[in-house]
Amino acid sequence: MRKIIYLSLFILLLTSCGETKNFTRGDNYPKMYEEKPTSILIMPPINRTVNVEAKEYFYSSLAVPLCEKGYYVISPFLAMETLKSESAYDSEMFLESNLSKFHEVFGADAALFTIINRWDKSTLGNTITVEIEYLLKSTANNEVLFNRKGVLTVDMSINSGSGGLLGALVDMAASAITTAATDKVVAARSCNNFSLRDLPDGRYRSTFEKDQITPAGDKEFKATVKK
Amino acid sequence: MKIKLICVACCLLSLSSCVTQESALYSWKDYEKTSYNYYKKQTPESTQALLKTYENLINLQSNSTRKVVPPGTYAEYGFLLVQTGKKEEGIVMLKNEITTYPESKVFIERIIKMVEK
Repeated sequence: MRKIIYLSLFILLLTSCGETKNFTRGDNYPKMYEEKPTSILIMPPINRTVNVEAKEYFYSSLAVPLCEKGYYVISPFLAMETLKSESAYDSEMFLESNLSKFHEVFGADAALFTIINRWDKSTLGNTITVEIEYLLKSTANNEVLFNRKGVLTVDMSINSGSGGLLGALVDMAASAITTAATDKVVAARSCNNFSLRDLPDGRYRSTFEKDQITPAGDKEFKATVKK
Repeated sequence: MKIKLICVACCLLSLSSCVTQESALYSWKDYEKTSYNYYKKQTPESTQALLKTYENLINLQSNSTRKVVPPGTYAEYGFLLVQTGKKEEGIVMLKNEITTYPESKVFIERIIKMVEK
């Protein structure tokens, strides 16, 4: 009897990881391996929510994860100046248009569009729910190289994991430090990390061109993450 | 007893196999915080804090996997130096970006031309 319990527990644990094993990066994003973009321009996020600030939460938090993926990322802060002066700060108008201009001006091989469709903060559950789409398009032929979209709920409650009275105290102190604004940046960051995890690795990672068999999640997702 | 141990070990193994921890290519220090603060509100304090972050990013990469300054750091630092009146030093930094990342050449040369005007 006991053996059966152990066995079933074990199987449960094994299958709990299975969700991401159905696809690979190579299956989902073959064009990434054909084009091998090196440099990425982050387009100012397209914000379809009433929360005007959501745009900057995402704009300022995309560069680091993309660099860590092994890409050269054109500094969004410097690009912003140029985009504004060329009155190209509204990315919406480039979603379906020819992107060769961005190769010319910025030397970018690909442009990353993000479309924020929903940003809801629930005070009661201490969660932020974001509906977002990521689209990486080639500046050479306008083709979509990578795309993921979905609904992500970020659990903002702090969990120090230490438990007991000391743990509770640590939790309280940590909540006091996180102000409302940084909380939202953290949520945007969690969202980027989750969604871009499946992006094939770029030139500066040792796994560049070798990660086709890495398991990837669904292109369309619904998930909950801890911040 | 033995079976229990094996079970526990198996469970731990299967749990840990879910987490694929990738090593960080770069050391970012407090960049995400100071850059956000600066672009949110440009005060003498936030400017100084960001300048300090850039200096750290340039000098302290020995613990990172690539041991190279992250993309955009020299460029942003250079641009901020120019804005705070240190034009020549800033242009040197902008040129460092091109040396470190040749793929930045098109854009950074454009910026250099702009600040040299």
